[in-house]
Amino acid sequence: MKLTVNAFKEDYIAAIKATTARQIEDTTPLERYNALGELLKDYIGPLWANTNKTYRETGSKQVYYFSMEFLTGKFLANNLNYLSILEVAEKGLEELGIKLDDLVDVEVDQGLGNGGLGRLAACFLDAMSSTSIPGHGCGIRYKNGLFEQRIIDGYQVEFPDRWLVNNNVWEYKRPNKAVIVKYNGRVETYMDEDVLRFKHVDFDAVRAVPYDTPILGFENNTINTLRLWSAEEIDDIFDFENFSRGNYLNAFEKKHSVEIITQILYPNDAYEEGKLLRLKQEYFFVSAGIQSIFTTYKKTNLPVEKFSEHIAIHINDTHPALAIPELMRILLDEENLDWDTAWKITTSCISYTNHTIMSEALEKWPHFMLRDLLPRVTMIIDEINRRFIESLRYVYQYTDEDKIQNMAIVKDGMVKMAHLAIVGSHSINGVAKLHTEILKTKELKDFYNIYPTKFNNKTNGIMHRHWLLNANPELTDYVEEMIGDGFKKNPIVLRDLLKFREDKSAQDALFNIKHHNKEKLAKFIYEKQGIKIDPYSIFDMQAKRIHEYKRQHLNILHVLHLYNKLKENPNLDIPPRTFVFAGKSAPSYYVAKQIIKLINTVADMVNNDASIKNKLKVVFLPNYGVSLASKMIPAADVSEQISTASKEASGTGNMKFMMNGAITLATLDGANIEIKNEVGENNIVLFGLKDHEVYDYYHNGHYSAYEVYNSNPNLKLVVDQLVNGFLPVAKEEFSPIVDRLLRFNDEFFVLEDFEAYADAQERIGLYYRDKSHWMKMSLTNIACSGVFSADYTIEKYASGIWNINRKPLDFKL
Amino acid sequence: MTIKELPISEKQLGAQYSKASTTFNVWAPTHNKISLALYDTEKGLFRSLFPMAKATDGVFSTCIEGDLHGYFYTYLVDGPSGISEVTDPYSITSSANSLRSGILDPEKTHPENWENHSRPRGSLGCDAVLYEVHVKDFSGHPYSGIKNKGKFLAFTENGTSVQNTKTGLDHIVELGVTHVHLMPVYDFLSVDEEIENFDGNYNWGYDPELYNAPEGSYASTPHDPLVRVKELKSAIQALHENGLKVVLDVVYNHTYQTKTSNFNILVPNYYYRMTEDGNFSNGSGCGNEFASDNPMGRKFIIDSLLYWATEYKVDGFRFDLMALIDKETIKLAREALLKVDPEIILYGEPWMGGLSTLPESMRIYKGVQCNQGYALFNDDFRDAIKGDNDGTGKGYIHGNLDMKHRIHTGIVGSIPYDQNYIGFTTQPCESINYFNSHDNLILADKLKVTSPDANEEQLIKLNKMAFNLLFLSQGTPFIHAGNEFMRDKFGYHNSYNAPLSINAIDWELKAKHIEFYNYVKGLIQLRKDYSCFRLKSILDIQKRVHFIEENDFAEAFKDAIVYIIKEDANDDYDCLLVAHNPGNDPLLLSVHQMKDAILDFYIPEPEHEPTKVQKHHKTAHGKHHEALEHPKTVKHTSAKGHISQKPEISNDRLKIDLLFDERGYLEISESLDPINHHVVRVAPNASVVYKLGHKPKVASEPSVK
Repeated sequence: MKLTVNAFKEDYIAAIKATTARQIEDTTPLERYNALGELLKDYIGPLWANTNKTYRETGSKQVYYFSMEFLTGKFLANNLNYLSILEVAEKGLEELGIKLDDLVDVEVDQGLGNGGLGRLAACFLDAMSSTSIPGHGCGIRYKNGLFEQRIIDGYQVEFPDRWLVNNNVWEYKRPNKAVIVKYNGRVETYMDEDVLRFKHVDFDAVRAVPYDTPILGFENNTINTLRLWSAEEIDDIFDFENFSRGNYLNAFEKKHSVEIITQILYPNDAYEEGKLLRLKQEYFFVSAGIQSIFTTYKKTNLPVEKFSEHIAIHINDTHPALAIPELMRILLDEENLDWDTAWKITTSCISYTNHTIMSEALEKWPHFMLRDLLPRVTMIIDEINRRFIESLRYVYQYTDEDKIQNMAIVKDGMVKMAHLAIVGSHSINGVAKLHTEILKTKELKDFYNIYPTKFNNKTNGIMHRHWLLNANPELTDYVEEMIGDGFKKNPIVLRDLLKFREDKSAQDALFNIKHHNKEKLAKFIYEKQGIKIDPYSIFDMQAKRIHEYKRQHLNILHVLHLYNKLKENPNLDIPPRTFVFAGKSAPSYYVAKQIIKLINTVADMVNNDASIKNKLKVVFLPNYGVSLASKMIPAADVSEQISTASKEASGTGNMKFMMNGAITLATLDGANIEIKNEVGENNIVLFGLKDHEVYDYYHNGHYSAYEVYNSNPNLKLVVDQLVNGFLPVAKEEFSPIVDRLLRFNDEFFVLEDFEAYADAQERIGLYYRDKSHWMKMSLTNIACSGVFSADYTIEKYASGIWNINRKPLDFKL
Repeated sequence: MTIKELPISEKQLGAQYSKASTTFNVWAPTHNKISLALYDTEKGLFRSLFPMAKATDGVFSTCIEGDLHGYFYTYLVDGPSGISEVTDPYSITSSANSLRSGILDPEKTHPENWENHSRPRGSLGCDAVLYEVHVKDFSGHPYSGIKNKGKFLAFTENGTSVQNTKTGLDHIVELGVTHVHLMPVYDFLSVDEEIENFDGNYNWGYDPELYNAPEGSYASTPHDPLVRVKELKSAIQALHENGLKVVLDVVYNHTYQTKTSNFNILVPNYYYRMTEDGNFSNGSGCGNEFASDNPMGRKFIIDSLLYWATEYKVDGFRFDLMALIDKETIKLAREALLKVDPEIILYGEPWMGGLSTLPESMRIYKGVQCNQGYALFNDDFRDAIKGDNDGTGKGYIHGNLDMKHRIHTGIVGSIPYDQNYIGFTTQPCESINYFNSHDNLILADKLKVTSPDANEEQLIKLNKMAFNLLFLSQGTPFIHAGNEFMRDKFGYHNSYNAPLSINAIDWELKAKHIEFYNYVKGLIQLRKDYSCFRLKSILDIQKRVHFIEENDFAEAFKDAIVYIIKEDANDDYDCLLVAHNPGNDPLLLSVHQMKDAILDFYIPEPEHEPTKVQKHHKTAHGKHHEALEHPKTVKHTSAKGHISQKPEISNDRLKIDLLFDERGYLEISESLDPINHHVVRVAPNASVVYKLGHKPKVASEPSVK
């Protein structure tokens, strides 16, 4: 939008008055931030209304992206940027004596997610708006985001993330669009003109209130909606009878029992079976979301049979898989459609992304629990299952009942959500080529055999406007100087950078930018943690959830190995390295939490040992989130993507690091393979077992962790050091980790890959010594990263899954 | 090949710079492969590698074309535990924290007018007054009034003050010392050069890394290899231009690192003394001892000393744990140094920090220095003055008469004075007289520990007594910076790594103790004004210093030491009488005794008839004086008992001037009327100096100071 500095200032002063009723000089940074947010909403409002109007008038197909998590981070700077008024606002505020950066700092991360899955959802929302796809988010407005991680005495300690404590200026509460979500009760049947119909009665009603957040597109006047649902008391729920008798606690009990539904975000990668509250959450936003879609759809006066022509519902992993029976329920019970019609609409409407093959992360619910909580929905699931099994029996000609039972949605009293999602959707996609391949040929092979056309791949993408433009302005300016600003809207043209590969001055400039980012991070680390790190050292980063399959312990064992080598020879000719770790562990995942403790224990030891001449530093940065990632990633030289091959579905951190010029140190896993294909093998450092070797070991059982351990003295030494008193902790402190590695035969092949990993690290050191070589690699990575923009990913979703007309809409005001 | 069989080299080692090329020589006879890593930035990891060729003398060399000024280098040395990257022991500068050696164009390291700046001359031997100071202590205090706090450049600042008293350079000049002895300024490891906040980031620096490079934390930036060199030179130049000589504290007895030091990586176990079972001998108490007695170790020390003497125009060296450096090395070093500048002085600590494998016969203990041209710290005299270092032990100043004998010995420069007083020197200037150095409790703290109940006034008296004994004795006096205004360190006895808040000189103490300070300053002036406190030889002392052992008031005399020193030639008096009274009672001296004192030296010799000169002269007397006096020694082997014909001096011919008492050096000496005063009183815990003369036929005028 067009705005002069003076006009902005006038508007802003007015906004300050309206929101604070105080003189601008007397306002706090928070008040200034809120006023700016309100002002932006004034700017956004007409654009948003216009977008919705255009969608209505053109009757364009709408996508609803259902996700338990949206890790959107911060909005202020992004929204200013997308409205093309960042510089105007910066200048205007400066003239008023306010630094925009100070206001940006006031904003707290909207951290409603765990990791990749939640961040992907946020990137997709951004991409849909920026590519003018009518796509909206649907999720839960958790009162507390993922816990705030603090490190106390080396241990992860969880504190509540009270992100709403200062209100959330970006959201619009829409109480008039609240819907009722029904739990418990029972199902009654009745006859309606000879048709048997079902009615859910005696239920507990919970009011779901939507909060809408505008999701801006980049300089295109498109504003989509992220709708997050909050569980609130129904108006007449307050128990005056108890209250007036003095039973205050009882009086509030029901209110609390309702509100608790959207109180906390569950950590995702240690799925805890049987958490009733989690199930309530899943149904809560699915039901509210689908009801609200229906309400909106009904306003168009289009026939319900045409629903799937106008609506696409995407479920991000299985958490929203109840969307299938819920949509069926509405079509059957409220729209009175017959099963086959309803099923056709449902399956052509719904598509599903699989995010993991880790069996412990595959959701299963006890049938009895589901039946008690959602009696009608469970009936529908049972019917879906019955019909599915029947069709399988037909397909397999009533043989192979074991296989059929294994594919069933309900088996042994458990409801398998992934099977429900596969059966009830028209598209199942993996998130990287290898992942999709593994789904087709291994994990979901049986389903692929019967539904080959449902399966497809959509490699994850990232929001280059955030991870490059926002997070790394110096690099952005430099790229713009070299190749113009076309990459901002069309990141694939980053490839034009390749012609500067051999250009010495380009290499130097790139080095200087990276170095400056490293200095900034070093300063940040020094201020936060008092650890002095050398910006000239190689910044080697592993930033992601802590999980055994991601193998942070492989990394830290190697650090310990380097430390041993340096203790033996402090003059060892290796380039100094700084290993930076960040990531949260699920609170209940003990081994992962012990890995955090191990990292911090090694860090303490290494960082305080002057004898190794600062050649090694280890930093664990607590509370990894979007903001911290934005500081870390532009400063990385090496990106650690070292998961056990076949375990990481895609990863998106790898793409973010790559886009910022880090060299990937990787196993051939997830999207690492696609990164390799883009940059070529000379511009990535690979090591370790391949996915088929991992599967072979699993199948043939020939892997012996003890054998590996006994055959490599360096490895044996570091493993022993975990439990032999070398580290300044009780000897049993890390025995759970060592047990996993030895007694339980090292499920993730940490020991097997150790030597290859150490060799790869040595190669990194060698390459880094040669500036021209390293900067060429780095430049190649940046140049080839455009393909991983979520804009392209989302276009593939749109055309390949949602069947959306990609003719750009005209949003002229 | 044993260490003895290794080839040795006479080559100039290190990096030899010229604008066209730089040649690198490193001696590493046991290795087969060494490469040179050349870096164009201080910290960047990118580098070029150059193979080095090995010659039969064990020296690896390479010559790299181009102007390498400002480049950095290291040596890559193949070894059993991988390739080691080490700096060059011959580095003349380095990157921050000594990780890489630096290459400099020497011409660029000179401050303005460096080549021709005026250097003070003289103040040799006993004429010197040594002033030991730590670079950070000197200026690091928040109220030092000095801008370049903790830096070399602090020594270039004139006109600094606090509370209207001079600080820093002006203070040293005002005090009147002759040599500024800088505690380690070579590169050491125990301070992180990159930490700006330097309160806790402090060390004395007795942990050498690069002997020929200045310490980076004292430079205004540790990152520019030129700056540390240039700024140290600037400091030395400024001291010189203010009439002060500069002594560097050198620690060649050990290195901070042992197994991992650049020396030991380049030639394993060669540069260190090893025990028979293959361990590092630890005579330093710091983990190793440098093998000065191995040819290339000796060469290194001599090369290093010569480098400082020529490149930095340094005027002297103080050797830490000098006993560990074999005496042959010191002898050769001295010979070489005197060729650079005949006025260079050398002194050191005649002890070790542990058991050494260096043969006894090669160690430098007290006595070994005899007639060798260097001096040693005199711990006997030190302890006799104040008692033990850190405990409650008392010294002579506290009235501990057990120390009296040692004090006597110290007063006469620790020479073999007579049958009774036999010290370790053959020249008084071989004894560095001191009551404290940087080690142990600083005097003011020590005196508090010994006398916990003493009040301020009593403590001042004790401090004064210590100074009296130091400056009124023969030998070379040495003080630690701040002693002159009773600097304390909050009772820390070993503040080597204590924060700067403990160590920094609190210049406000000078204003607080200004009376004391003026007293010390006067004392130094007194010593300078009267050359008889600075006698040069055994014979001079034997002849001219005489203790008065008997007293008319015997009971009161037992604590005190009273001595007379014969006049200087061409002076207007016969002798000085010095009395130290550490007792709590006044000391009484009779005029009669004074007369005797004069007469003790009265030897009628026609050619040595005193010429009365009214003007006091300050020039050193030198050879002329000695030549005059030498013949007398033929007649007198001892000062005592040779008075054959004592003439009678009547009271009206007697001239007694009080020069110095508990108030200090008197601006105008107070003449005493011997006709009416038969007894002179010396206050308790105080010293006095009287100037005694007998008037010739014509009355002389009072001396002019």
